[in-house]
Amino acid sequence: MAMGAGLTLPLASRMARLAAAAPGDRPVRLLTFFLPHGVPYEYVEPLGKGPDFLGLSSVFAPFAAAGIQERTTVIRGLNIDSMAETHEALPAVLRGESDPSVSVDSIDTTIAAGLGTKPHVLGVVPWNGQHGFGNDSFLSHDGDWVVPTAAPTTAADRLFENLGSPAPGDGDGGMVGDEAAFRNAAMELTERQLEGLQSRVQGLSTEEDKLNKHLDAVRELKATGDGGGIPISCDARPDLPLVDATAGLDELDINNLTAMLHGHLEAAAAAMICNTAPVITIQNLWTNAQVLMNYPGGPGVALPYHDPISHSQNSAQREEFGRVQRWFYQQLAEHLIDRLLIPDPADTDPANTVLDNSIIHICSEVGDGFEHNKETRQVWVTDIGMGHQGYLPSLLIGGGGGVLQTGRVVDVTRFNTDMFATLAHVMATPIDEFNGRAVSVIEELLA
Amino acid sequence: MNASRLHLSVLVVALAAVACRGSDEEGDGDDGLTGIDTLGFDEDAVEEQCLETSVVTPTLRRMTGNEYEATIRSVFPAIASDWAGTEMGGAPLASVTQFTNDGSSLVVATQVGRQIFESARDAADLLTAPGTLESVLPCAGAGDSACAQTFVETYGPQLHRRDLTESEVGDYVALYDQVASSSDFPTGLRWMIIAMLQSPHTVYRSELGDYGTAQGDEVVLEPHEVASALAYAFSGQPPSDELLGLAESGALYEPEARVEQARLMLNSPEGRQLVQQFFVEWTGYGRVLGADRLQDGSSELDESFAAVRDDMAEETAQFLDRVVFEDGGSLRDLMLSETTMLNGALASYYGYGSAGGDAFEPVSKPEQWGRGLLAQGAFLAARARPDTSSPTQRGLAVLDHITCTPRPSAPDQVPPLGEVEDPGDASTTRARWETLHLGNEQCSGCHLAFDPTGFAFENFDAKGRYRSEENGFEVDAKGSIRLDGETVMIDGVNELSGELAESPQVAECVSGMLAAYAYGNREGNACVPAGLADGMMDDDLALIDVMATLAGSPLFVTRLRTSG
Repeated sequence: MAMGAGLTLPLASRMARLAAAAPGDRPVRLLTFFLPHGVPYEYVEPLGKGPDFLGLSSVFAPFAAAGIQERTTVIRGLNIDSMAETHEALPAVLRGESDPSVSVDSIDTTIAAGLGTKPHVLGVVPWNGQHGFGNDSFLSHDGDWVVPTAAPTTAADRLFENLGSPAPGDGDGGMVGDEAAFRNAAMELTERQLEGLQSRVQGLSTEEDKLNKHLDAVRELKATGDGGGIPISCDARPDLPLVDATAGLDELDINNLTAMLHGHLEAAAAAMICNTAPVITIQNLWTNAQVLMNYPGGPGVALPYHDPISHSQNSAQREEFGRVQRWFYQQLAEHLIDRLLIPDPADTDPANTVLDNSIIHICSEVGDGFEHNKETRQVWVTDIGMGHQGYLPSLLIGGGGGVLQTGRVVDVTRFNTDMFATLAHVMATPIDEFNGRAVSVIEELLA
Repeated sequence: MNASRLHLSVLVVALAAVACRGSDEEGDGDDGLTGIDTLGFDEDAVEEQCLETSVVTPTLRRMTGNEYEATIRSVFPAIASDWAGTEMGGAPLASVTQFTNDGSSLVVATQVGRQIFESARDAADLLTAPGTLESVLPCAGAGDSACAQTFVETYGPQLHRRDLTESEVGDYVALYDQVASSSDFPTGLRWMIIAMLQSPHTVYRSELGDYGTAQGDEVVLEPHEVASALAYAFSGQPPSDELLGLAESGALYEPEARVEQARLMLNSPEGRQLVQQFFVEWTGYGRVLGADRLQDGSSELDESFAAVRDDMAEETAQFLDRVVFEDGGSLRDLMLSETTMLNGALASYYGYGSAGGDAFEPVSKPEQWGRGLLAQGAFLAARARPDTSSPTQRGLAVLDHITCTPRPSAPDQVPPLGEVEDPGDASTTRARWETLHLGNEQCSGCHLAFDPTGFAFENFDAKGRYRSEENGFEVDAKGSIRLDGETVMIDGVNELSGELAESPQVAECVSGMLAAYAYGNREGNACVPAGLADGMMDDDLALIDVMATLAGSPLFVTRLRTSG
């Protein structure tokens, strides 16, 4: 295990790693880790100062235990500018817009497009598909729900499809020369057909929007088919035993959740190390996940995630909610972050770890699970008779290629779309407008 | 109302006149006719309820994943079993009247675009593989441009469900030529096939008609569009050659012909599967498949429930198949059937019936085990919590899907259902609900609208089994429901189902759900042909006839030229 490897580096190297860099100087990866339905604040805080600022946090204790506090920032004070009721804020997590049917960009798609690649969404979602998808079940991209890749084996295939030469049936990535040209020719024919249909539906605004969206998708596929110019640092897909162990398991069975999460984290970590997939999102559960949290290897809470534990004003159940959250972050620390504490093979400076050159953004769609607050305000926990300043949970882990200043708590009053601008800035795909809204980088987060 | 709306209204009346030929104009049901022949459209209903919706506008309807797969497998049976299909799904459910085939929510954004490309690529790989290619395209040995054109001319009309123009054929062949000139025949064909399979003309079902080419307020759908609309709506499949031929002959512009074809398609294996999917989405009974339930009074999973939950879903599927198709049952039959379908495992689990083995067979239910759809174990277990029944979920299911009663919005601060201080006052689920929901001013404003209806199910536990007692206390299943503007008192699920079976409000709601599914539009519930709900009640129409009758709607042949 590489746990704690960063602590053994010579001081000079550590100082070098902490030095500010400009966006684009190093290859940076973005992983968004979504855990729904907010947090119990009294188990997130208190947050201290100094190198052990996470030491008193129950929920974030796994990051302290992993020795990565110096690479972690807790952001308090983000808001979603949304009229969404209860769980309908979910589509705003990646887009800032809560109406899932509104056609707006998502930040992972925007950044990936800026990098000339495509975003991946992996899902630890034990959701039985028999009754269709709910609008509070999945994250949203461009006016469409994102159905995450639920099987780690499939996820690994996709995360590494840019490796090697293509073969029929082996995926569309990594195409070179003629194959890329052939694909472009096919896409161009589809584009022309769509343009022809556009002229037929003139005056039918809904149909025009539909075709515009389709045309954008085809053009994006054409632009990102070869993975862009991102430097890939592996010649072959690494061994992924935890992924392999999920082969044949039902990915939607709650009893397999631990194995599925471990598989996704292993695959995502390997892809980040190899730099085959610079933009990844992992969706854990979903807002209304009424699934028991006592699955094998899990947090051992024999209650459903959504109701009662994430909805609770009851102190015992809020403790259980905190325990479940801690369990997810522990898996993140042990099965993904720990793997990133090695020199980045895509960076010429061996002092920089993959974590130094990454951003792991932890987020949720509401603040307090009971209050469902999308804005920063005082929330009151009746059962324990105390109030907390409520805010959207938001953590950044990783140095962002030396662009981020980490190891602290930062208090701000900003919309989550400004966090998007910050992520885009760090990923060297800057934006000053997002879905028609002026956005700006949260300067307090930068080195 | 604007001029164009009036125009469609006139058109509807004209078509309704066709639909009503031979019908009983007095509507007293005494003319000896049954089914659609007793029905007619009412222009006022269409004006008020439907013309404001997107159902009446010309559209490009993106296929669902199931429709796309059915199309590719139908056109290329040689790869039907080897092709993995597509990950492209249906529409996520965002409203009560929405189904996964809701055309207003089905779009091709980046994710779906990629899924279509990948599934097209996989199919093209299989089609151009040695051995398969020669069977799919006998001229492949020639390996030339003419053979590629043969492929386009053979399969293009099936994929696009219409004849291709010379220009379209030329575009595909030109793509082949471009690729093959720097590779080989299979590679050129492969990319040409990918382009055909991801073409918007394959992926969208056109219902644009002569929009953009003709003048006037109404848009008349092309014959091939009518055939496609009917085929996908009533079988989930692309149109057969026979149906396309009927469309080209003009026959499908007659509502009776459409209804007849719809009935044939609904009774096919594919049609039955489509109807089953409607019930899965309408009732949500499939949720039982992903449900975990705890042992009574314990935090341990109940393995006996886990062992039969798949059988419970199958029980309901076979129950529906029997009521709807085998018995030609009506809404009343659906709500009040005394028979269910059990296998040995379920008979043992429920504790009644003599079924043995894996095969399901009809079993008469003891009266206390409830009548009809709402007493199905899968429905009851799907609407429960892991550790207890849920009068809230069950009451809401009735309000949302059976009576179509708008529910109040949930407030932000919804507390969990906590523990009651004094167990003596809350020894049953009902008692807890009464204390925590109805006895709480903060909650009762909303919960009074549905919890009392849910109490009628209290003779059934979280695992779909009958109980006369809970924790040693006799179950009280008395409740109430708002129906047709009145508050109706009920005691138990049989009384509830009996009231629902006789309610015009329920007939209107269920016919609206069927219409939303048939039209593939969440607003389709506003476009139920006038008289249909009355026919369900007064004439006890078979559900399959109700579904087929929807094909007689003018919306399958005409649209309005609006700016929708």
